[in-house]
Amino acid sequence: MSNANGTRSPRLPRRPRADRPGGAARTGSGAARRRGYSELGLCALLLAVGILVLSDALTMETVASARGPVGPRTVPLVVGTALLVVSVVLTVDVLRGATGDGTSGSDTAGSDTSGSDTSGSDTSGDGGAGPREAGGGTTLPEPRNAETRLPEPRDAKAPQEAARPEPVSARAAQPDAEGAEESEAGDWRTVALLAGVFLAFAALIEPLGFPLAGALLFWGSAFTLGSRRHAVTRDPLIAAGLSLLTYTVFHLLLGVHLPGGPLMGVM
Amino acid sequence: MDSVNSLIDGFGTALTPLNLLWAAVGVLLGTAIGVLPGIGPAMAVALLLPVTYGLDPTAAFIMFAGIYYGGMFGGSTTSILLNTPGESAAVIAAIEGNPMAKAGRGSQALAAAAVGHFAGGMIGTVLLVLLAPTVASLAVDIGAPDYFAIMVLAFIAVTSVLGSSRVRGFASLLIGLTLGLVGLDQMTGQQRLTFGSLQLSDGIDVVIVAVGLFAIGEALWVAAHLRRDPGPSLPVGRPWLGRDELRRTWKPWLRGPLIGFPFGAIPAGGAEIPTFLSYITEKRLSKHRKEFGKGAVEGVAGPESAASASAAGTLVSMLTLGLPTTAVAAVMLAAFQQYGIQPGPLLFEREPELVWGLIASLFIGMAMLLVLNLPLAPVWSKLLRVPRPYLYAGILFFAAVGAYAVGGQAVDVVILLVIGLLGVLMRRYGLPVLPAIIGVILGPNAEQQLRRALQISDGSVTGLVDTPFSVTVYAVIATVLLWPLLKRLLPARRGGPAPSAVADGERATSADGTGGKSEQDPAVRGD
Repeated sequence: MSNANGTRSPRLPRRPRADRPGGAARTGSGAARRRGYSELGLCALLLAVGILVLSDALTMETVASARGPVGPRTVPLVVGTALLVVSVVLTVDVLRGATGDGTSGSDTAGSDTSGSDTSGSDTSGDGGAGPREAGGGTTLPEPRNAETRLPEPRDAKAPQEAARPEPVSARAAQPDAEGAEESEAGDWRTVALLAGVFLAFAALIEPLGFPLAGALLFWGSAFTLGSRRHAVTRDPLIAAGLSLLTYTVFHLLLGVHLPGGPLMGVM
Repeated sequence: MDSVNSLIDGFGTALTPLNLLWAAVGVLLGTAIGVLPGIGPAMAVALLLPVTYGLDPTAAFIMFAGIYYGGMFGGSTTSILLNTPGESAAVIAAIEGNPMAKAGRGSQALAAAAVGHFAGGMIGTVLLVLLAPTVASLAVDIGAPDYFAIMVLAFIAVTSVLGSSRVRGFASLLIGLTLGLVGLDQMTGQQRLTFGSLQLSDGIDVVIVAVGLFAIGEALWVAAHLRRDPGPSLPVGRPWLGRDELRRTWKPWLRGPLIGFPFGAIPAGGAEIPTFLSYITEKRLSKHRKEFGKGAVEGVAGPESAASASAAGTLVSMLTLGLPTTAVAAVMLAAFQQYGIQPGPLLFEREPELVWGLIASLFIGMAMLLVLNLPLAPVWSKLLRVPRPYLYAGILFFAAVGAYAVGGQAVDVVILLVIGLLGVLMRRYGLPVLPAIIGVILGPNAEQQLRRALQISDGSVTGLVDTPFSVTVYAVIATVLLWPLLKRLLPARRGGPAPSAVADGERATSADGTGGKSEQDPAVRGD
């Protein structure tokens, strides 16, 4: 929690970067330690949000119209307190070395199990994980129980557990081994650039209209993500086509209004 | 019999040419989006939500059902042909399906998956038809304290069962609850966390939170790590099954739903436990055990069927109690709220046309899935070659469209970005996303029920536990919370084969799934 106060800026995306320059040139253990520090940034964030919620609740004026024993303050107070508690528990957890299990640079981190967004496997989509998983799968549960189903889900996951480190190690083994840090800084730069493109879209959609702003958004994102070869030839055409098509479909078929802007005014 | 009549009425609604068209559009769109690498059903549904804004609720939900099933099938296609499961439930499809595709049997794998989805969805939906009205009529009598208890159960289950550590799960839940607090207090109109901003006093739209956390968060996170080209996708012809495969797959197709549906119906069930269970079951029962891991068709058929049935099971608690237990259900609930409809026991009385239309369209969506998607599979597989920059640029593009379409305000796009960045941070630090979504959606509702319950009891906390139902639910919560402790106290049970029969085993597994998973999560999250 010691550096908690130092990094309490509300600018979420910056935080990990801000923590980063600290020890760029260090080796393995240093990197691990810094990972720990950046985890503490998460604790700080939770702490900050908790304080924010609590202070908002406490400075709330109580209104006469509040009926019943539980006013508008109670739940924010509970949530805020819980945030503080979780922040402290997580700090203890991190300091004990329980850092980011499963989060470390893996693309699939943080996904919920129920489906949805677990996708990240994209970057490891070279098929590396698959055979591995499958291989583990074959050795599965035979020797075990015949009756009970109890331990099975666990067994079933075992192959995955085995396969799991794969993408990480694959990444680590890559030649850009200046360390994960440098590449991670690059990652955050990509995110920041994409965020910039996105903000530009938000600013431009009203004055320029959706077709233009949308095309810029697509083209800008694709360019940021490394589409260079066709950046001036194919990409703008695709962007314009997608944007116009979306506009037409939403506007004419689905009845959802999107601003046409001057361009559509002309046509 | 009542529900059968209602269902027939529902088909009457769903079978009009226009609604059939929406169903077809939904299936095609859902498959197209779902087949894109890295996009699971929940993300597909969240991204396509805005498409339905201009429609009336019934048409919108009919389209939605199509999107959902299309997205699931699209996800299996990706797993099989590209070995990149878009969601954890599709991992098994990758384990068995991808080797099949590599061995040139991709067509059969796709067909087994598609028919598996069809069979699982059909059986699951039939069970939904039989079960949901009963659950709804039982649930009509439950009051505010019971609701609050159920929601607390959903919170606890979703944080304790999923994710790498409980602390991180709770952190995620609390972030969600905080987002849910933003806006005017529903009972008093007090401003909370709005910082005087007019924009925020309306609260943050759930759709924006869902799209932000799922789509933007995921796109930014994965895009940031984009380093390699994807592996080559495997060519595939028209899916078909030979007689030999049919003989091997029909039983797994039928067994899958029996495993999948119950898991879907309990809170925090999700689809990956039943798919793994189904996989194990099929492996044990198969005569071709040696083929498992190298492309056994049973290993695709059973789990896919289980996944589909579990999705139908999820709808039971979503429609009758308003409880979303999976990400897709959470997004669906957001869609309901978009139309000012609150799922719950009264939904079946108040909006029979919509509910039964939706259920009927689930059947239609599945039929369409078979009719449209099997012949189109070669086309879908071409989508796998979309260059990654285009793919993620496209996701950002459609997410932005969606956020803007919610209210027609550019500020929403900015809010979307902020929440998306939050989603990136959460992925970076291993906070599961689902608890946050559940927190945003259920938080305000839970607060209202809590306050109502305490108003009735005049502030006495005993008012929260004065019904047998709520006491039971709290007992379950306590079990879930204390499970790691209990497990340590009962080591003996694990060592030897537990004497549980199948009937008993189901409960045992679910309990075990609940508690035990917290320690194996790295695996769960690794898919």
